[in-house]
Amino acid sequence: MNLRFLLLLPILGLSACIDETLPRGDDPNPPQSQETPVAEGVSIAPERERLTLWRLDEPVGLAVTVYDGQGKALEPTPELTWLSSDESVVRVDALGRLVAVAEGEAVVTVSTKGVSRRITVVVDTSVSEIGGVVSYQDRRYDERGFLSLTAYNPLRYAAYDILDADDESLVASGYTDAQGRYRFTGSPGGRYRIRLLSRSDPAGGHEVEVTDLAGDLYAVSLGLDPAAPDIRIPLASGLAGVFNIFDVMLTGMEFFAELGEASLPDLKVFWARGNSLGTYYCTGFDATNCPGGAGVYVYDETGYGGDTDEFDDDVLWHEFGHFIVDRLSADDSEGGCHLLESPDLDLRLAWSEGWGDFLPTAIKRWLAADAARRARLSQSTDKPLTLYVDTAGDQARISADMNDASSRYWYASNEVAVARILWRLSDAFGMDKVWTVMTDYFPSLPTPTNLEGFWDGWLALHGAGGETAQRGRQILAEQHVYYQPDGLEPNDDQPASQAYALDGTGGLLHLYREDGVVDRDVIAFSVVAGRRYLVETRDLINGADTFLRIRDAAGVTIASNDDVDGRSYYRYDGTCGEIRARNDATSLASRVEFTATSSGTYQAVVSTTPDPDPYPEAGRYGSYRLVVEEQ
Amino acid sequence: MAKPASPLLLDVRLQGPWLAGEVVGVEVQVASRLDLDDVELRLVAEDGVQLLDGSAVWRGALVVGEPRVSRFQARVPVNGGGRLRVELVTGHDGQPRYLARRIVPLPEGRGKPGPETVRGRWIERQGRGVREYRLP
Repeated sequence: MNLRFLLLLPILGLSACIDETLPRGDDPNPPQSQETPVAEGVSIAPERERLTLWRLDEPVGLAVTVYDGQGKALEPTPELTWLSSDESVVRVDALGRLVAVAEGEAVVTVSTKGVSRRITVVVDTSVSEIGGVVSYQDRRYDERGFLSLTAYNPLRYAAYDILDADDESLVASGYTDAQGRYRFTGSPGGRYRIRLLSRSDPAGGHEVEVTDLAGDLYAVSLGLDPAAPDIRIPLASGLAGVFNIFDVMLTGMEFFAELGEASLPDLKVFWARGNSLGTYYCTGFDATNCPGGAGVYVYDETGYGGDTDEFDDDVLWHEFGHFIVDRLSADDSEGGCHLLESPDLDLRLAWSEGWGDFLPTAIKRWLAADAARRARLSQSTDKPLTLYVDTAGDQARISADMNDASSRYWYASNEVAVARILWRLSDAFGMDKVWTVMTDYFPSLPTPTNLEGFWDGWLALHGAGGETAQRGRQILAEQHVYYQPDGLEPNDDQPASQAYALDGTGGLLHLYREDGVVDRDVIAFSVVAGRRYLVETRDLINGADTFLRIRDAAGVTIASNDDVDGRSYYRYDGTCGEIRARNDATSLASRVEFTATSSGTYQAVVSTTPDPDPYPEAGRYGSYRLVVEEQ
Repeated sequence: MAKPASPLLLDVRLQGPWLAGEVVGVEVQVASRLDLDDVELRLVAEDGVQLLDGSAVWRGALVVGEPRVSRFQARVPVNGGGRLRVELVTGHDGQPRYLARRIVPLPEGRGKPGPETVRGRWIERQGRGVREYRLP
């Protein structure tokens, strides 16, 4: 039988060594009776050859665990006996701690229940603090892609090990600081390696780690010269991208910490050379697309198409945006294919992706606003911070400005429109006002998370009558989003006095009321008995889903329609290869055809759909035109 | 919750094996998820490859649902190797820029896990698996 101890070395700057377990013949204490647990073996963690004490008179504790034959720790730990072979070099105090007395070497033996462990202890005071800065090479980019310019960014808050270069025993462990510095106590003439890991310091309350698809961390190990202790991880290593992903995500965490998020969630990022799964965020495990569980997956198609994302900060922060709202806010999006120009997305998808498009711009603005942080910006600073760049090879694969107000990015069903609205609101009123809606309003939102819900929260939290509301309406209207009464209001019960052109040239009517009541638009039109008429809602935008009723001159409803027969809201999108809802101009429009039974004034009453189970992809608000045609 | 997709679709197929000194047909199919009025297709012969016929550059419009197919012939270098870089690009100043890019034939080692310059080794650290890459 063997006796097992587990020796834990909690003090930085130590190295330790365990000798062989003493043979049973050396056992000074014979085994106890069967009733007493019998010690079986010895182990030590971490395993190493030698323990070096750097400072005199500074007690160093060793945690010892004794195991039984099943590998179970004996509780309580049996009484231990300590013995130093040379107390003029190292002695053991009453608490079982090692105390260096003078330079030299001694063997310390700890024994109990008939078995022992010996540790060779070296006292070497000719050491000093060794430290340097770790940095990784980052690629700079502008709207056309990567520049020839690169820069070394500090590798911040990363776990590191200092290893003895000869036997790879662990000398010290720690985390780089905010400037990428590491330090340890060692011999200036020593030979060391440093192992840098893609895992962050948990002291901040959260962890970020970058792993391969199997969940293994990345580490880079380099020789460390105490005389020239700064460490650089070059692009040529193939690993600088891992640490860029790591730093980009940490920067995202810092951004939200400064917004007052005291408790940020842990984040896992999965990256591997040749990962063809894509770049996306997973909320949980899926054997095909999310084999590592929840986290951000980063694409790498180095060869055929050249689309790699480890240096695409905008893409990485886009996915970080999905992560952060999943954990701290709410997101109903079911995902799916989306183009920046898509004008007719599911409102939830447009919101979710618009938030993801916006977040990089907000983080870059935050970085640029501070001289100390600005150096970490990878984007060329003479270009708009609202640029979104996704590279393939050295060129931009997608490059677009999120502050583009042009017609290609209109409506709540377009993701860039959402991004620009958030950019403009945060620019005018501060990021905290935007984020407050996300954290204080969205999680309890009874309706789908989309721009409508955000606007409801904006008014609820920041006031419906002040500058934030008034300016906000203007910002929304720049993207042709009209969460405001139209020019015919109030006309919920009776037609407005203003004229409305019914030939298709009338202005857009908005199904919106700030008091939360479902808006109704009552519009009068003249009919002649015996003639046939078509009444239709057209030019639907912003996810409008109209419901149309026709009242005769007596106020009796003679016909109604929700969605025009024969039109399909869910249609196959050949370019994306999937069926998706289309918030386009006609899919959820309404149409009624009737023959007037009397001459006089009839009324068209338009509201949002009264369906108790409305399409979650569509809106509660939205705009349209009303057309009346004599057949 | 994926990153935005590019509207440009590019598919490149070799009509036969990529053999040293031989002529190989190259079929390029381009399409777009958006109507785009100014698209440029470029074929760049690299590392000794010679384009035998077909213009290396095409400019024109792409309409949704109407893919365009172009065919080329290229001679592989007598010593083998070489490659074609095919790029489809759109976007003027002030407009969004899109690029689709393909390299044929595939470079050696495509899809190989881990950084290209060094091989990693698996170690265990504090109960976690670590893929360690040792740099000089």
